[in-house]
Amino acid sequence: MRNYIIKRILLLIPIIFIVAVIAFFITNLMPGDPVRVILGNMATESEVARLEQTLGLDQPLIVRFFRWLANIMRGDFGDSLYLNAPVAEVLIKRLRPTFLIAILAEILGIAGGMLLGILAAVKHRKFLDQFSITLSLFGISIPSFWLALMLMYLFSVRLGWFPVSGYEPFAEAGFGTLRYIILPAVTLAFMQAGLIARMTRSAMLDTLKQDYIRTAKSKGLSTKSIVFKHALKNSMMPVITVIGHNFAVLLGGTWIVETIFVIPGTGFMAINAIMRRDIPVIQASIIFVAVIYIILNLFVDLSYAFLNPKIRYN
Amino acid sequence: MLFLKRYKKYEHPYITASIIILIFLVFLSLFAPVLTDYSPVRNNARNRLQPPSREHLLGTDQFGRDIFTRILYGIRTSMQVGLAVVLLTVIFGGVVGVAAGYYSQIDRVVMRILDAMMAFPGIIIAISLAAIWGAGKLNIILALSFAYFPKMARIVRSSVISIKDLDYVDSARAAGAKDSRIIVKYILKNSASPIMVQATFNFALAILDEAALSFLGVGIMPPAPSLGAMVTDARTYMVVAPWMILAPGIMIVLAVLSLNLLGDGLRDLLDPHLKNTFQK
Repeated sequence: MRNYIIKRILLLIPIIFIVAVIAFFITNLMPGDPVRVILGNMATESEVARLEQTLGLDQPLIVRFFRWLANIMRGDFGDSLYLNAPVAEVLIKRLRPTFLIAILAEILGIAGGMLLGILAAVKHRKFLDQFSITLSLFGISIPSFWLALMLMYLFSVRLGWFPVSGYEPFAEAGFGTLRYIILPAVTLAFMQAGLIARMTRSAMLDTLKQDYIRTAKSKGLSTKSIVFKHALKNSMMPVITVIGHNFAVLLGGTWIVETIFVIPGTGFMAINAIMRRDIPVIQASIIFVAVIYIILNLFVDLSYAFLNPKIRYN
Repeated sequence: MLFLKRYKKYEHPYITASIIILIFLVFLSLFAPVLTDYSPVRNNARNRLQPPSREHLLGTDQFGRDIFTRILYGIRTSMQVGLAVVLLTVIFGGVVGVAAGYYSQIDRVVMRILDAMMAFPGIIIAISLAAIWGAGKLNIILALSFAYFPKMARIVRSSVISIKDLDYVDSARAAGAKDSRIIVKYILKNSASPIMVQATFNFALAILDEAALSFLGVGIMPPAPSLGAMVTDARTYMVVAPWMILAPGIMIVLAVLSLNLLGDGLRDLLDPHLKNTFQK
């Protein structure tokens, strides 16, 4: 197991390198000259040249890339062009709302999705099955920005249960923070629940056809104990994969819902940075999402190897 | 065709339903100019923010434009973007996937690059690229294709790998067939099912993401009609003109839902080995 873990971690190095390449070159092809943005229209040519030299922008792209890579290895993503602070610092400050939303959405999505999926598989071809298929299909087909606005209209504007937008940190509002993040989290949970329900259902249906389930049935075990004790555990692997792979979709979704609900998290920051061409912030945001996704999927793979020894020795 | 044969054999209400909805949507987008007398872009200041009425079935927006008309042209934009993205994704993904799957020398390198690309959520790559290249129909088509092709390439690759060492391919090789002939005639032809299924899901995703990009202001540029941008407008007037927000959203859901349904149905129909969604 230890060798397997080391091998998997070493495999991450080329992937993270390519992630850095993509993040750097995407952002450096952006139109708009950051030097002109900083200095404004009144700057003279010599001022522009001087700042370019200080920022190292007069060097060839490839030299800049390796210099930049060396810096981010040390956790230095440069300074934001607008927020007048190191990007890494700003990013860390904004992590909390994003994580709160993502974790709450994931919990709601897993709970709702697995419940729907199990119900559908147990009541195969009955009304509940059809109902859950339809619901999960809606989950993956509704655009999150529209769902967010509909929820906002219904629960904030009409019913007044939640604030329309904004955010108060946990330190100030305590559990009042939940009032701000519940609608964004529900929006994102809807799609996750749809994806998870579909996978849970088909994995459960596969498992329920196995011989050992028939044995358990003929032993006279109750449906409840067959489903939860015997079938569910063995249906978990594909479900865990879906959760791991779609965490990236979830994080991408925070970019949109944070923008709609004006929540000062990393997604809101990223969208603002894109609109303002704040390149260091964009780079850090893109890398942040990719690295989280990579680490999470490493854990998914490791849990596979943990659950199934066959994978370790391959 | 295999597809039609199987379709006749198993009656498949989901596929039928989704195809009917899709034909309806294609009809709306093709005949938009005939179905409405209004222009999707011309302002009419006297008719601002009218609620639904007999003249304006779904009301008007903040520039007095007929929402029903904008929806028809908006779905047209969605369909154009979706179709173009699907074509480009199949071409890029197909070429890269076949190259990686068939020529094992380059497989490792290509796979590492694809792995890294898939670490970025599609919507984030698309937003960043659309911001670089600027908003506009062509740019978001390219951005979305770039975001989706890695997954397609992986699917094509694994299909190619599973086929390329089968006996009938070996015998073609032994008979002296060139690589190009083997790839096109023996491998691609038999990889068509997973490609078709993925292409259908990509179509749905492209409509969803085009709307999201336009909503954020990096997609289709106003005044050109886009369902996503209509939701942006509606958001501003949510309290005074709530009718503006329903129709474009429902239209997106209808299109995406029917494509996802079609994708599920096709998967059940074409590939008995894959996880079935509806039939067991």
